[in-house]
Amino acid sequence: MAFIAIIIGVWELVCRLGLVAEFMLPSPGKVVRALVNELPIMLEHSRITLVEAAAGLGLSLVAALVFAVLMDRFEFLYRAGYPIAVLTQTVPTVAVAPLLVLWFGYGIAPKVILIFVACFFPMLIALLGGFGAADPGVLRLYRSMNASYLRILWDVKLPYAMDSFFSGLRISVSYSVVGAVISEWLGGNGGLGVYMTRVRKSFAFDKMFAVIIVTSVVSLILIKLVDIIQAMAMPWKKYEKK
Amino acid sequence: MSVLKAENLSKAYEGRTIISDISVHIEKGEMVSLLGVSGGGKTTLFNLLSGLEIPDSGRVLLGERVVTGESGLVGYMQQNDLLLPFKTIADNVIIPLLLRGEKKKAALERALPLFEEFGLSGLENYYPAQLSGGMRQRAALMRSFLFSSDVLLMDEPFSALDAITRGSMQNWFRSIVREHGLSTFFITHDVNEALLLSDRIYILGGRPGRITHEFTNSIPEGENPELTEEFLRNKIRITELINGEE
Repeated sequence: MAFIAIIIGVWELVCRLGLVAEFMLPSPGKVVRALVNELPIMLEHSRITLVEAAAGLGLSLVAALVFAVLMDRFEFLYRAGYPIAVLTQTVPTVAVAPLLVLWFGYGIAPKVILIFVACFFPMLIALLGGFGAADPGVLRLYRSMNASYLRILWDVKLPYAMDSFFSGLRISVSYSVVGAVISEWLGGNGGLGVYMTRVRKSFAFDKMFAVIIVTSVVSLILIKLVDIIQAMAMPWKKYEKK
Repeated sequence: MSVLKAENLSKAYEGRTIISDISVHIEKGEMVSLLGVSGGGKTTLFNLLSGLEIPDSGRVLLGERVVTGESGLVGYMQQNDLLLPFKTIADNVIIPLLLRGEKKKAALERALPLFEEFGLSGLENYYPAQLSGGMRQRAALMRSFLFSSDVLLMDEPFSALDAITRGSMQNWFRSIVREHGLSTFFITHDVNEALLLSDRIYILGGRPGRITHEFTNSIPEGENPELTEEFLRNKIRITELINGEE
């Protein structure tokens, strides 16, 4: 906290002394003023970005869960699907975005697809890792009691995977916001990315800084939300020794 | 008639024979233990008896029925309590009942009266992490008991506990087994534990593992049973039998 205060202090000093041209680096004071003045507009844009992020993230969650279960159940699907999943992760999001716009237009579809691609892999890896974390002794016990695969999945593998799942979700939530913003750069009628492009084109860098702060805060709130949901979903956690 | 019987069981992994030609039997209400060094094939034998693995030769009988390689029939308890950390104690112990298709409400109604007897009353809604090692083993035993009251296979269930807790768990275990007329087959590498908890002791030795001796024991009664002359005599005798094999 003190460190951040020092950075802001130095930043303010640099601007006051005129070491950097004002249009290149607005002072913290100007950024705060822009933030306050533009907040209602930015909140409306945030809403649009959040809807896209939620749609992409939701789809990737469902898909990751389905694929993780299938890959856990069938060895050949794991061997066939894993390299493809890795491939989706190596494709640079920024490079694919224009193609998606070309194929799917300026509506919500290319944005949701981009976010989906960005979030799917971390979720899939988190779930597969989580299934692997199930206690082998417990799995044997269930088999010794003749439990079916679905029963083992529901009773053992999914609960054991929750820790890992929430770690993946934290990553995916921030990816989903960043992915939404990037996809909005390429066109659309609203969203934090669209706002960012507008203020950049009008050289309003105080607003540029303000919208970056808003984007970060939105991600932070979402990550915190995941923490809260995790604590509620895993009530036994608080008794376990670190 | 034996509740559980194994005839001439042999098992090899990757060409190495682990146990060879093993025959054991457990009578109704009898406490039997299998005593042997670690890595001697004790757990392999249990995996065969519980149907988790299939023997290369020989067969397993439950009562009169041949059940070789059939899992889901015999209760199996291990060194680790294997309680699910995300389920409460009550939800943990009723797992076998739910797996058998019982409704949760009915299963709880059956299990709840047992909590008192297993020394777990008031802990129904606690998570395993909130309980001591001894308490968790009691819960694990209760789960095995709800799974099958015919015969319980136990693979060093108390070896992870500290010495004081182990002593009180052994006493408690003996009384609960006697009260319910349970038949138990108990793996251990501890001669004292075998003498405290068995009517009969099989000694597993050699490589590949086989039953080298069978020892009939009378479980000592009263305070400090480990200090009686008979107990010490038996202990010396068994130690000699084990060492004679080396």
